[in-house]
Amino acid sequence: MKKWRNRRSLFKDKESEIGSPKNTEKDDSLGDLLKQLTLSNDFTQFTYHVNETSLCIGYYTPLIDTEILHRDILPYLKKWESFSSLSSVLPIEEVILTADAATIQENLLKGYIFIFDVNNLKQVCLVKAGVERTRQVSLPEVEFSVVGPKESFVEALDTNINLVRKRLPMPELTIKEMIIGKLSKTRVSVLYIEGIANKENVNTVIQRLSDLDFDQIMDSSYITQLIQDNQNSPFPQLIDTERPDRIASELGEGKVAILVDGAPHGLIGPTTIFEFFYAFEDYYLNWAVASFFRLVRFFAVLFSILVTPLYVAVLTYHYELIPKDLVSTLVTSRSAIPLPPILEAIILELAIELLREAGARLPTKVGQTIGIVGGIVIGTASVEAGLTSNVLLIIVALAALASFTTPVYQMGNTIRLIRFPFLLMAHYLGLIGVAVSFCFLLIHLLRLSSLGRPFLEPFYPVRVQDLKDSLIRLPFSMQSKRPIQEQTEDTMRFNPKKAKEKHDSKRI
Amino acid sequence: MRKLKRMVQIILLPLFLTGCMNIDQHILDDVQLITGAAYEYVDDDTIELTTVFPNHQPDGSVKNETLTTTAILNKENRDKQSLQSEKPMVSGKLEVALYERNTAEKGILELLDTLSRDPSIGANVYMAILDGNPKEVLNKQYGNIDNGIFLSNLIEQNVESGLIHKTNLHIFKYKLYAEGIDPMLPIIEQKEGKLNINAIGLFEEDKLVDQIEQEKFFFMTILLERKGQKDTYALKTKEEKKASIVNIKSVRKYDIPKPMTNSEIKININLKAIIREYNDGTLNKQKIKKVENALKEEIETKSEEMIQQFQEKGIDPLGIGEEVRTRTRQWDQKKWKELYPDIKITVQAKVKIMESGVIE
Repeated sequence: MKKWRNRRSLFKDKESEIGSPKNTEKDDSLGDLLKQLTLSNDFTQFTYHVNETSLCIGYYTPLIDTEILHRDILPYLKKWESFSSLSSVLPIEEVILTADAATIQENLLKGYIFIFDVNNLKQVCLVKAGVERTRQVSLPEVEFSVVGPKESFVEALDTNINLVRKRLPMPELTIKEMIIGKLSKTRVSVLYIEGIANKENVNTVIQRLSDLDFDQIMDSSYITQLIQDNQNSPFPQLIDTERPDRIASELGEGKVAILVDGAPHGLIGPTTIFEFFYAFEDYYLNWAVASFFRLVRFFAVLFSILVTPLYVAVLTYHYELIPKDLVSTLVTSRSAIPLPPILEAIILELAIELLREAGARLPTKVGQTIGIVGGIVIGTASVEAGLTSNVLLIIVALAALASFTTPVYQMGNTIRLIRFPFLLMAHYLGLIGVAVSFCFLLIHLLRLSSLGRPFLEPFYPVRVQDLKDSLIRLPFSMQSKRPIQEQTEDTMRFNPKKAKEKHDSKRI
Repeated sequence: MRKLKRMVQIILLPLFLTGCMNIDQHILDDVQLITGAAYEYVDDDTIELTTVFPNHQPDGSVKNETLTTTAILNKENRDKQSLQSEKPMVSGKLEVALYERNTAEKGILELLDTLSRDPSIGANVYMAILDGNPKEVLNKQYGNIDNGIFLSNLIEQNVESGLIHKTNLHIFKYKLYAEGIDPMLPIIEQKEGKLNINAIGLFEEDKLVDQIEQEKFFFMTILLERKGQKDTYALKTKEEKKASIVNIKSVRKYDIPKPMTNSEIKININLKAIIREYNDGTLNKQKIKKVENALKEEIETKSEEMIQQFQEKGIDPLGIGEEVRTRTRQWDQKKWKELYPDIKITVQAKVKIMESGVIE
């Protein structure tokens, strides 16, 4: 940080050296600005003659829409009378008159065009002609669902807010915007519903964001890492989602959302660990089906973390625990393998990680091929070469598969990471090692908080009411209260009695 | 800075502790898993120990292998066997412990010590008495698996289907040390190349003193368990004619009006059964009634006969003493031992045939 400041002060020194002292002060700064601007090749500047006056027009070519310039600005400049009348002449709502060099520079970078009279440098007119080049709203890729809306966020903040706001057409949906990042000047919006969201949560988010001192915010994941309660934890404490419907629904529960310009993901907090195992599709399915899938996902996670360490622990220390019918299978599959169970397991786990990494970095089509080649060829070959046992191959593959069932990608990564300490402890201490690691994991989770709210809620602290939407999802008619976790100002979502009524008999 | 120092300390500490992590590893394929052990006294003190372990072939099949050594202690034997083996012998996967008949008659208390003291041996190890030379019996291959697992499966299967009583190390030791009950173990013999549970051995303390034959297993199991099911009996209805009866549910209740006295003890048995096979013409209601009565008679006479046999020997495998003990505050083992042979014990059975199939 210190270095950065030094550099900036160096810049200032140069500027003052270059500046020539022949004109007035304002001219001076504007002249300097122009000099600095023309250093960059993508800055266009030309003079335009209208009624004997010469207008100087300048802009950053990549940032503006030339069509606006040609269609909506240049023709109207013919009707030029005086500078102050420009705003009424141009068919554009945002026209700024200023002479402040800083404002001019800032707005030029936002996609404004400046126009000024060559003979009168005291007033500069800034006209908005920016263009935003973003992709179309497309299908969600990370959190794909078969049922339900298939819109996902894009990189443009305004489009994203539009996607949320059209789902929550209410004036209480409040958006607080701030600029973060000394270099990137990223727009970050905090979304919440006034009257539902807890003020404390909102203020925590706003305070943490406004206190940030950072140079570049490239994605929402920067924000997660910078503002979450425990920055060293491998567990993300804010959910990131690419589904506007998820954000809208959680705003309705009283949560606070953060949208970052340039990031196709929104953040939600405060959250609990269990929410990382919800697919939003759970709400689109019948509650019994959804509950079953949630349980499957949760057990998949436990399985994924524990199964390889258990294999290593049991094979290394606790041969007594192996059922007598399984002994023969295990011994036969391991008899040709020269490596101890831990090495065998680490080799395979790393192989799977390699495959995943290779698959993720390569283009989709090549990635698929790599997956097949790696999965089938390497798997079979390593068993035949006697490097790993086929029982372990199945276990590791299943564990990897299980780790991909988590709907939130960040959590899947965490789960794959925490397997390794478990594995090593299983090798050192056997089942006691697994138990010790599990205790550490549990203690860590107990100590975590999300925006100051407990991370293991509703199990610790026990809040029976919130169990309705945690490991299982009860029907909507029983979800009439907002979660206690959010400490909402308005706790009722709807009237539970009315929700159950069906006025069929009255109709006839 | 202090924090950094601390971190360095924490990171360095485990490195110095690696010496403390020297925990004995038993990697599954680097140990020889003993699955069965047979004990025989060759003279007064020396034990001949035959251990069975599987030799897993690369094609997935299992070859049965045995080692036999003699020594005074069991663990001494194990060390001697380790000297003959390519991998260290471990006993954690022991499934079955066999005692040669003469050894069992001598008493097996001293041999139990090794099973109880070794923490890697579970309490669910099956125990049995072997009729024959352990070395010869165990050397043969009986199934696709090694003999330890084979014997364990043999006993387990029969316990689960209710043909013989529940038995394992824990139950044996409980009955051995409990007052008013004596242990039993199945007796296994080798017959025409097959292993076969042919009788149940009855113990007095830790010595084998008597046995009951296959025909009486049914009465044994219904008398022994408070609630029983699934065991079968072939009832003789006439010469060469029989009915196969399956116990659906049997409830046994003791009626002890005056415990710790000479007064009569009644054992009530309420049996619900079905007929599974019948080879004496068509089966009608009268015949079913007859079968019911015949079975009732049979249970009462055979059971009483069996109990008399126990009383004469002074053993109590049914745990009648234990039933008495739960009903009185004046329990005295010595006094009970004197009383037991002379008490009149009667069995009263109620039999109901629930079902006889849908054959016309």
